[in-house]
This record gives sequence, structure tokens and C-alpha cells, in this order.
Amino acid sequence: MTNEIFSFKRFHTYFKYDATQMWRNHMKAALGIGLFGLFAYLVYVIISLITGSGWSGPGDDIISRFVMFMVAFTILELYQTRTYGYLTERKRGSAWLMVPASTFEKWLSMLIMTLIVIPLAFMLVFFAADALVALLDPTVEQSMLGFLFGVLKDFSTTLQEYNEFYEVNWSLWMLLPTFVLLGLCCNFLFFLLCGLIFRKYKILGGFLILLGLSLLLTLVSTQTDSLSFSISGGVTPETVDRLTSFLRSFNCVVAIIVAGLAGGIFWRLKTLKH
Amino acid sequence: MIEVKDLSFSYGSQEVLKNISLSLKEGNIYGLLGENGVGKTTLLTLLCGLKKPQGGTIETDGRKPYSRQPSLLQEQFYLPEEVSPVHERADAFGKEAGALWPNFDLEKYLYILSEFEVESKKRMDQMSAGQLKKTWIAFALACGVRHYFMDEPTNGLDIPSKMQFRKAIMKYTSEESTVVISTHQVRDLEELIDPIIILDKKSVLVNASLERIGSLLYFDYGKEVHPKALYTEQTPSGMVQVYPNADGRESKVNLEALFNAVHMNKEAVKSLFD
Repeated sequence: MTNEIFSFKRFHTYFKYDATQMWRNHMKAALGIGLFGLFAYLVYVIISLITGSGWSGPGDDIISRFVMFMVAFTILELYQTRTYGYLTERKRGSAWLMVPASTFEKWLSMLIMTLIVIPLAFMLVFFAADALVALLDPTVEQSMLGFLFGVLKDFSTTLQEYNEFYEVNWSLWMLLPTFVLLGLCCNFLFFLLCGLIFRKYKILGGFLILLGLSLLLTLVSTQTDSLSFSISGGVTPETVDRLTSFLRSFNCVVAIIVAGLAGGIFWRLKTLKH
Repeated sequence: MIEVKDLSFSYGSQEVLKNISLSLKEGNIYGLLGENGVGKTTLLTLLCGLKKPQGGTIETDGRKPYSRQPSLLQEQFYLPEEVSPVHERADAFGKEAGALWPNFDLEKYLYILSEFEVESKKRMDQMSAGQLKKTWIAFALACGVRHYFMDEPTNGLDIPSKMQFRKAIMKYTSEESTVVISTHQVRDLEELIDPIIILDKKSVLVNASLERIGSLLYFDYGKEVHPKALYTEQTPSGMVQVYPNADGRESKVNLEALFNAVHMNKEAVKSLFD
């Protein structure tokens, strides 16, 4: 008897098809966004040459390069409104709905593409282009990845020093990357859902919802100070405990939002009509 | 076997279908006829599961199309009036998308494309509307499904292609297939469709084989006007009249005359066929 919800064989076939479609229709644009840092670098150099300053790269200004990364990453997040946004178009959306795979399989493939494949492809291209620039341009002191490894090394040393005085609260070091990852998942899924809900003006629609949510959160946060904390007195075991507790609560809230967004996407796919 | 019982559907306050009931049996190529706006496309999209019935039920081999179960999706194909211009070559599309239908036959697809005189190496988004339509028709027929729902399949096809379409439908659909073709181009499909369904907003006016239509209505190509004629039309070669076949004479059913006779005498024809 056919399993109508999930079959590995069917999912494998569908995922392959989805990945091919993604590559053909969107991955080139996503990779273009990945080369944003390289374009910014070239613009920087060309402007330097035009203004008569001679060949001049960003040098040791790592911050501006990370700003470029954040800008490119934000564009990638907004682009999620387009990756599957075609499902709201009648022609392409109808064809997709009639593809023989279950809604769960289509949803799972969509999440893997959005949360793993696209961000990884973007980062691979962005950091590879950055490393290439660092390799070829002697004015660029180090690659962003090299810088990040340096920061991690310093962080590890600090952690060891801290460990000599206090018992390390390991959960904090797990909660921090979880906090970042959940935040990213939340953003990607939010814009993906906006792409599936709005037929037109998908990004504008997303921004309007975010604006509404921000206003609501501001209103709520002015009514309560239970989540606020201060580290002005220096890093002590107490502030670390407070921070851990804060992050744990915050991560729980964001995890619920991520689950809600993923559920919302599934519901939208299930009830999509043309 | 597709069973439709008391099907109703509205777009907002605009009622399109009301209490429609009909049975579609395998081994038939149904011609779905009706005036503009009576809901032919809506009925097709309901039959394939792109829309949810607001009243009544649809069952395809005991399953509800709107549940979009993979096992049912693998057995059906919906060809909309306007097909999607996929951003890839026709042969690559067949290879990738065809893998999703278990009975898809790539060789058959390429063969039908060659019969349709469509270049398989050509990108689909660079094809003319007619070539694109033929590519999708070839793909649909190569899927080897049991239920075909085709909305105006001959629109945009040139005269030789219409003939090729009729031949392909006869050749590549099996005895177990149920084909439903919605069309205004009755002359294009006169030799192909049987039984005929004539749809009205509130009911199915006719759902009968050509044999039964011929036994109930007489199509007179003579020159004298019959006093009980439901419909009379002057043609360049003479006249065509439709009137009740009281004495069981044989005549060739003229689909355009039938449609017009039904359209002008809805209640009378409906009671004749009930």
C-alpha cells in the first residue's frame, strides 16, 4: 500500500527535481548575491583609481567587509520571497501542485533548500571570493574566514582563562550559536512564508508585517522589564547566569516562532488553490 | 471512475456551479462544452484537486482529489489552457519532471515531440505558444496516467497540429483512461470526443454518448424547415436543423448545432435527456 505522507523513494525523486529547478531558476541569482562582496571590492578599487588614490583595497578594514556580508545576507533573506514565490502564480503554481509528491515531502524539500542549501551555497561563494581577493591583493591583510578563525582562537583562550577562575557554564556557549541559528531560520522562513502568502508586493508585505510586529513588541516590552539585564558591572558568574537564563527563554520563544512559521508554510502549501 | 455529486462552487458571491452531478467512466474521451463563464475550467480544476469543493463531493476511484494524495497525482494530469514556459530544454524537462510520474516513458515523449515537429533541444521559454502547448501535450501523454483533464488543448495549435493532437490522443491514451477535454473548438474535436457533456451554471444539460444523442435528436441537413425544430441554421451548403428524433432515424450529430440547440432550449433538451 502506498504511503501517502512520506516515501524515501518519492522524496528522493522530488528533492532531485526541486534542486534542479532551484538551480535553474534561482541559484544563479543567489550566487550573484554571494559575489556581492567581490563587486563591492571592485567598486572600491575602481573609485580609488578614478579619484587618483592609486590601487587601494579595503586594507585591514574588516568591519566594512563584514558589513558587506551582512548586506548581502539580508538581500539573500529578502530573496526568499522569490524562491518559491512562483507558487502563487496560476500557471506555475498549478503545475507544482499537480506534481506527484505529498505536501509533506514538498514542504520538507522546501525547508532543506531554504535553510541549508541556499545559505551554504551563498556562504561558500562569498567566502571563496573574499579569500581569492585576500590572496591576490597584497593590500588586503587577511580573509574574513582567517579573521573569524583568529577570533575563535582568541575566544577559546579567553574561555580557558575564565575556566581557571569559574566553572564554565557550557550551556551558554551552546545557547549563543543556537540564538544566531534560530534567528537566521526565523528570518528565512518568515520571508519564505511572505512569498507564499502575498501574490504581489511580497517584500513590501513582509516589511509591513515586520513593522506591525515591531510596534507590538515595543508595546509589550515597555510594559515589562523581566527580560532586561545589564552587564555594566562586568562579567561575573551572576551576569553569566542571567544571560544564560535570558538566552534560554529567548531561544525558546524564537524556536516556537520558527516552528510556527514552518507550520504556517505547511498549512499554506496544503491549502493553496488555483 | 470519477463520481461528482451535488457539486457547488462560488467565487465570493458569484455562484459558478450549483448541485452538479455526473459520472465519468474509464475508456471515454469526454467533451466538456458550455458557454463562457459556466464553470468548465472551474470544474476541471475541481476534478484534478486544484480547488476544494464548497458543496458536494468528488471521488476519483474512491479518493478525494483535493487531498492531493501522491498515488492519485501519479495517475492524473491537468493541462491548463495556458501552460508554463519552463526555463529549460524540452528534452531535459522530460527527463527531470518525467521522473515524478512512475509510468512516464521518455522515449514516447521524444517520439510524440518529433511527431508534433517540436525540436526537443529547444528551450521551452523560447518556443512559440503552439510549440509550447504541443510540448506539454506530449509530456502529458508520455506520463501514461489514467485521468487526463485538458482545458482548451487545441487553442493556439495550427491546423496540422490539431490533426496531430487528435491522432496522439487516440494512439497514446489507453482503454483504462478517462479523458476530459474542455473546449469551444468543437469542430477541431468532433471526431474525437464522445460522450458529450454540456454544462450550464445550475446543471448538466447533457451527459450522453453520441449514439444516445443521435437516438434522441435528429440532425436534419435537408432544405425544408421542420415545424418542431429546436434549432435551425442556414449554412453555405444548405441548412442544419435539430429536432426530437420521434421515429428513430439515424443522423450524423453536428456538435455546433447540438450546442446551439441546447443553449436555446435548455429545459426542453434537459427533460429529453433526463
